[in-house]
Amino acid sequence: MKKILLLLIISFSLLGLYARTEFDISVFADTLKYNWNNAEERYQYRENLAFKKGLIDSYEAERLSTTLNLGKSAILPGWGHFDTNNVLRGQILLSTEIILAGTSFFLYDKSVEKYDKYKASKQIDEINQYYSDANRLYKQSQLTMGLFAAIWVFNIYDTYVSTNQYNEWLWIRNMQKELDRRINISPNGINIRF
Amino acid sequence: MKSVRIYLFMIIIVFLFGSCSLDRKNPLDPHGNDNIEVPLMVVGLELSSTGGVVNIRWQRSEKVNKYRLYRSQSYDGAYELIQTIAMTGLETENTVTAVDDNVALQQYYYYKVSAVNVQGLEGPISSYKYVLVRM
Repeated sequence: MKKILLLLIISFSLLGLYARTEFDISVFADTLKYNWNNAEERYQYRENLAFKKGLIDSYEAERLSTTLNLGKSAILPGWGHFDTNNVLRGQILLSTEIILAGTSFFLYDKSVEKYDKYKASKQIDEINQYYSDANRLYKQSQLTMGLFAAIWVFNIYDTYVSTNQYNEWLWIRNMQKELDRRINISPNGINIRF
Repeated sequence: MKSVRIYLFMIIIVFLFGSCSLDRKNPLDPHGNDNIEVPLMVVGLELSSTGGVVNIRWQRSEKVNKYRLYRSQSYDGAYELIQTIAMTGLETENTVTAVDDNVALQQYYYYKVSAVNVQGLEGPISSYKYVLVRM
């Protein structure tokens, strides 16, 4: 009984093989749809697509956000430049801003000191002298602060420019790196350039 | 063109900040306050010494509430306030006198005087005069 059952199963299985016809992809797909005339072209297309996708992926992963960089530079002048490889420019901006802010604060403090003396003074020469000193120091402090603000504005503008330049450079560098690859593995095979 | 605009903007910021001035908040500051009249500089300062004291004299001015007398032991040294001479407004003489008896013999002393008005503003301090204390 078992043998008969086994024979029946084998027979039905063989029926499936007998009934199978050759699968023709051209019946279902238009191979000329993407301008592929043959498998070789299709592989080349896929290779090109993979190349572009790889470029975009690596660019997206490495590119700097302009908004984020502007925010960084707004908080700490020059910070945005450090990320764009403009380290020297970032250092110059940061140190200049620190010096200017420090100088402005120092001058303002001296100005306040003289101004307090001016307000308390009751002698005409002292009144004139202390006011003159306080006002001169105050103006110097404000000029320094103005210079600080101007450099801060320049820092923001330059961060915007250098971030865009960095992103452009990144795209070109990645593309060049991809093109310079000596060994390229693709569905078409392995290409080695010398 | 964009860079030029940025630099122009920077320059404007600097000048905007730098053009600010402090307010004149001293109530005795005559600048912009017509009610304050600055006392004139004291003139006619004369010194003499006899009997181990210094006699000081200068011309009296109108609208002066008091005079301040300063002294130093060198012409460019620190002048110390030694006396305040109050005016009553009833004086008839054209000169004001003061005596400094806190002096050492054979010593040079340098004096300056200033006038103070009713509001309490002290005018410019006079140029110095000096005297040798004699017996």
